[in-house]
Amino acid sequence: MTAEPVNPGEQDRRIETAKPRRALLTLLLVAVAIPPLTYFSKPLVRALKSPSPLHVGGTSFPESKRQFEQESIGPEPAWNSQITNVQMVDLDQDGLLDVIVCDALRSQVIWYRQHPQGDWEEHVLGSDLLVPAHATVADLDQDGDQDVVVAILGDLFGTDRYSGRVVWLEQTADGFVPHVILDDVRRVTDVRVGDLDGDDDYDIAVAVFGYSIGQILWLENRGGEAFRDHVLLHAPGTIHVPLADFDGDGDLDIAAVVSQEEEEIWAFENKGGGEFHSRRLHVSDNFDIGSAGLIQDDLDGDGDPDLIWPVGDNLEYEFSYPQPYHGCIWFENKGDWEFEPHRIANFGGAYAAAAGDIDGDGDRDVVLVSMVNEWQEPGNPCIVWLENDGSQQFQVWRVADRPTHLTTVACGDLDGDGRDDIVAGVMKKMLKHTDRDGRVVSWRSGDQP
Amino acid sequence: MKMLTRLLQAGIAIEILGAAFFVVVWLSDPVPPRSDLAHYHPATADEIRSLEKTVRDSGTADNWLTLGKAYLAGGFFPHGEYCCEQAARDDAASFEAHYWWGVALNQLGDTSQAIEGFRQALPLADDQTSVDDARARCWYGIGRNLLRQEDAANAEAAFRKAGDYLPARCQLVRILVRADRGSEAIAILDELVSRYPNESTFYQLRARAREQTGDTAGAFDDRTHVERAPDRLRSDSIIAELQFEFGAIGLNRQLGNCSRLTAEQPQQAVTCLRELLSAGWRTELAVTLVEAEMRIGNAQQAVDLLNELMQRGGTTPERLAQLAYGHRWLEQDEMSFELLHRAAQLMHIESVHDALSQAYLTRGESELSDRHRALASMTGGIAAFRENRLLEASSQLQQALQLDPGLSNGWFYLAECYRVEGQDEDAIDALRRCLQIDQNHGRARSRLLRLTGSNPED
Repeated sequence: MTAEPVNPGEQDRRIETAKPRRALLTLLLVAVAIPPLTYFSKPLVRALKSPSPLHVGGTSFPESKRQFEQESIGPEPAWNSQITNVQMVDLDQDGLLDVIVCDALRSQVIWYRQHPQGDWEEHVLGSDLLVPAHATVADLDQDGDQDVVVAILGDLFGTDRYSGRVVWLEQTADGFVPHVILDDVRRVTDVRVGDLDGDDDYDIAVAVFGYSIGQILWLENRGGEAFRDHVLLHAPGTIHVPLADFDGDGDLDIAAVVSQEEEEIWAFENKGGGEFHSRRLHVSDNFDIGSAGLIQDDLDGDGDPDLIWPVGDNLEYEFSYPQPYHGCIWFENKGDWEFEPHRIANFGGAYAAAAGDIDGDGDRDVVLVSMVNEWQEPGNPCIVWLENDGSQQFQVWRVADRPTHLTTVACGDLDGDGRDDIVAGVMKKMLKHTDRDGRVVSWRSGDQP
Repeated sequence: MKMLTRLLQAGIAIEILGAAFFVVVWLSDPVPPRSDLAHYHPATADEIRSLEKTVRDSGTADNWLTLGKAYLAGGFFPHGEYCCEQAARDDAASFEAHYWWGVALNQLGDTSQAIEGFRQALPLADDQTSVDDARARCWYGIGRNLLRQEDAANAEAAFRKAGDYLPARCQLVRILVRADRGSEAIAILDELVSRYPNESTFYQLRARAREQTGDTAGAFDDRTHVERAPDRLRSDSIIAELQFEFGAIGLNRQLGNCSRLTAEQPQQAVTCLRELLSAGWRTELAVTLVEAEMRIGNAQQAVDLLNELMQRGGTTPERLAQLAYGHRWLEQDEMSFELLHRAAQLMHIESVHDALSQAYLTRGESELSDRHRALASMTGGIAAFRENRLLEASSQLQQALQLDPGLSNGWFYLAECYRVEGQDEDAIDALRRCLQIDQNHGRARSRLLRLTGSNPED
């Protein structure tokens, strides 16, 4: 079969009529398509739009001009670290500072022995210590070697159950032998050792944090392994009980920070013979200020111990956020139990403070670590140092922005260069994490270019 | 044809203009912020993403508020603030939107704006089912933020405006006590104690208030009553509300559902929990799954999971005990026995001592079996005492002391039961027994001093 021949003119005419028809059809299709296309493109269009800027929180500081060399001490974390306390102590008395670590995840108190300088050997001093919160090194039995007294929290999370203990790890020729010297108490956060009743043996001040119920105790050393407990204060949330001769009368007094919506600083003036007179040194009307600890240090170098109060604990909820009032307050000891507060830094989520001469200029600087800065903001630090200009005016410098979630810090001269170095520990208790992980970290203070 | 073409062209032009108008409108509409959900469990992350999509598709005030609350519950406070503010803008009459905007600002620490948010919510409370409660929540939020500004005087006024709202009453008495206004505090605390006799906070505060007024006997009664008041007030009601929302999103809601299944349909619970755990590790998931595995007799799975749980989340006496029960199920009795001992050394748990008593009995060591039976009874007795079940406490403590009269704490708590019941002579006897065993028992010494008026001799 062959096709009928088409006249070329006829073909042109057909094409000419088909064109507008096609155009019309196209226009019709476009007209029909535009409304649904517009409607269905809504999510696409909205996806193009950048959201408005959000509230920016947290605290940032200029980077420290002084160099810090950062290194890990001990193993890297396999899981979320739960380091509750770090301290620098020369436990083996070889002239090099060591690091004592309380590790709640491993239920251990660990000694990182510096031997030789810069190398770390791990020794477990005590195991099956249920959430050790603080370890104090002292020769409790006065036999010439260093023992360790451990505050046992028993539970990292808020509870009023009687999970606390005080455990004495006695140093013997065969290692450290545990003795429970206080139990049937709520969560214990701190123990400090000193002669509190003037009878030339070592007694112990104890912070029973509890949760909604707590106490401050002192344990009178009765010889042997016997300690008798005396109540100094009924209050929930005592974190630390530093000892010092605050009134300059030659005996040890006890200071304490009480949190849990009490947010007070207390002192227990040693009147001798085991008698104490309690004094409330400071009350914050901000129930949310977040007391996070208390250390004593002669920050102004005038010969009497001052108090340094980091505020930034914000663990009431599963997620925390740095608050504008978080930071650090220095209580200047003015004598006669008068302590004048000076805010020396604002720092979101400040969780611990340590004092030391970081730049080796002869005055005391302060180091702060943060548990809950706004980690989404790049560069927000986890650790800062407050450079003392010699007249207690402080310039805050960023040391590092990783690892995040630091909760404990200590200062000491690890390398004997005359400048104090820093050791800090990570506790990941919150649900919102970052990739900036760590466990125990040191920062050696270096030169300033 | 040409006419038709022109008409269509004109129509299309109008349509394009309309589409452009809509595009401009949509581009001017707020969009939800982007959240970094990388560290979240997929169950929660997916839910938040789905809420984000809903808002992108249709940003009604309700959708914004739902997303805002989910962000707040998930710890994205800046994101939550943004969404709640949007909800409040879109629905100026919504109490919930304004209130939650205040909550978000409260979490961010923007105290002045938070107060403003709660103030804006106040007049909108009239439409709420429970008007007084809604207003009180706002006044509580205002008071709390005034406290954060260290403005105790205005905070006190705000808490007073919250009327009977318990968290506000609690903050009010706390302000009074801290300001040494003990008498004013006692008037309120007496009423609170009579309404909430098991709430420890009020006894603690009243003890302090009574000390301020010189009522040392009353203060002592309250201090000791604290030990028998098992309830714990959640004093920050904003945090309590956030925690409620936290329990309602993503993984937490699914975990709640699975937990409820554990008792009656453990097999289903195991399936659901395993699925959630394989998607992402969370300690609470593992804890619940262990319980469910044990219920259906999967002891090996429970043991494996417990070992991982302790590696990742640390040792607890309860986990050691569960591990012991798992090994016992697997007929690994020695391992079970060792684990029970470790658990008992960490903390006294009634069931652990019971299990140890049973184990020693099986081994024919009746003395040690009795010792653990005594410890189990003492632990149970002390627990009953702390819940103010004094008869039960007395009975269990007596049983314990019959089996092992050398338990100093057993005598102390028995003395406490007697003292509270007004049997002072029996209390004194029990305290002396306690001190014969442990002369350094500080609490026993102070109780005896109070009851006899003289210091016990060493």
